[in-house]
Amino acid sequence: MLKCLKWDLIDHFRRYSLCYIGMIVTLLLAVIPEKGNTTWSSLLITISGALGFTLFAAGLVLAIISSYRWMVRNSHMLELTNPIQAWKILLSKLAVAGLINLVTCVFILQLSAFWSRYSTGKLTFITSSNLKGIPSLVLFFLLVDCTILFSFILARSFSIFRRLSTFMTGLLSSLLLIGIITLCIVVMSVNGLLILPTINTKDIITFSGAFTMLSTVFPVVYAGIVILLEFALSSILLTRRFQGD
Amino acid sequence: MSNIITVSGLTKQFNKIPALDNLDFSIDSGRIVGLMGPNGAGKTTLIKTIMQLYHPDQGKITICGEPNGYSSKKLLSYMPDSNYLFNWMSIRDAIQYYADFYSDFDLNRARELCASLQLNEKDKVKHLSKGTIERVLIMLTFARKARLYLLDEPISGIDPLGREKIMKTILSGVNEESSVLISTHLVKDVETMVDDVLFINKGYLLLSDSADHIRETRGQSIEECYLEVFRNA
Repeated sequence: MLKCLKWDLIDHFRRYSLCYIGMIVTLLLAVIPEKGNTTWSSLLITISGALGFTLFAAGLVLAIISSYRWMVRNSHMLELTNPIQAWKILLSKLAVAGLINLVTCVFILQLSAFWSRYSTGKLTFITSSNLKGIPSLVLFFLLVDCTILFSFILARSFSIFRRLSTFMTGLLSSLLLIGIITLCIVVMSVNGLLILPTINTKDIITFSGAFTMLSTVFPVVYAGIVILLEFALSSILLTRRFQGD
Repeated sequence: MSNIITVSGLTKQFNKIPALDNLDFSIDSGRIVGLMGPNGAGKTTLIKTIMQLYHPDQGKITICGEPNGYSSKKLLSYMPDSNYLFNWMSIRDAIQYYADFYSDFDLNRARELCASLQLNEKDKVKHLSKGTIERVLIMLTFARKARLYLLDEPISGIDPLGREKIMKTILSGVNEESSVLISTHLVKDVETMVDDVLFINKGYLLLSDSADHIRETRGQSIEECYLEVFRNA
């Protein structure tokens, strides 16, 4: 398993190191501007903003790519003929995807903290309290990655889907994600864990809604269970039915 | 002499077209077996099914007496018909990759084979010619001490000099405890090295016999026998 992880990480960084170099450059660009509205500072902030959001999106896409695109490449034969159980191969892929999501989320958070220098003049670094929301965000992105991975393996496991596996992956993962999120919202609403915010704009804008402890615990547990289920089914299909070409 | 692989009733279909049709054969240790047939005969499908890249619709494969599962992969050394290494890899990376995943991978043997096959460990896979990639794959395959070596078209599209080097490596790699299944349609080139032959066409096994027996009973070379069998198929 650790060997898989080692080579998956090497493979990922050999292919996409430019994206991470770009992230570092973007952070540096955000550090340079001084307080004040000079043209130079504005230009740097604009460039780092544009680069930051592009690389944030790219990071999330890379996590999806690293979770399933390996099965499209010729090298999938190398990986699938290794004497490693299918679940270990998949776990390693998902671990890499989770790590990419984590790095991407921390990157955008740190970048937005650096931008504050433009208005306050102080260089701010994120703290552990800033990172509290990150695990659930990473879990959500991992749910997306895992659903796409599962859809791809499902599409390549049955001959009726295999010919149109890319289209079927898109279709299946969209339907699954809509179903998973809808079910979560319905269950939470029925159990009173989620009261959607209402907005009153008459005088001053006010929000009202419920944000109980359970309203964050349930989606996290739910997402965890769905990921485990998709992971288990993907492992079984990869062992017994999957066909790469 | 022990049994290395037994295939019984193996059937595999693609879109209801049989790629393997009720195949039965076995290979004993110490044998070099030629899996021969025209393009589309089912040679690659058979090898990929043994490697579990394809899953059989029916039938059973046993490796050294055990059902074919993930642990069988420890006993099999596979050389595919195309480059399956990561493109960013150097030959040294590929050696390290194999050393990490296969406990029977012999680093010293790999270095010896690099020297004899004239491979530079620093070279990047993406810059190598087809012939050199074949030599790299042969080096990686035979640097392992596996029980069964599965070679999918190892000499197709290779110049005669490269072909000779690959054949020498195959011959030096096999011993009393291991076997080689070599898929090819270049019958003449492997004729002198094979102990047994499997003629396969449209997924169906046409002939399974030892090379010596064919020569003695039919009075033909393997190539002549191949041409006769496939003309009448």
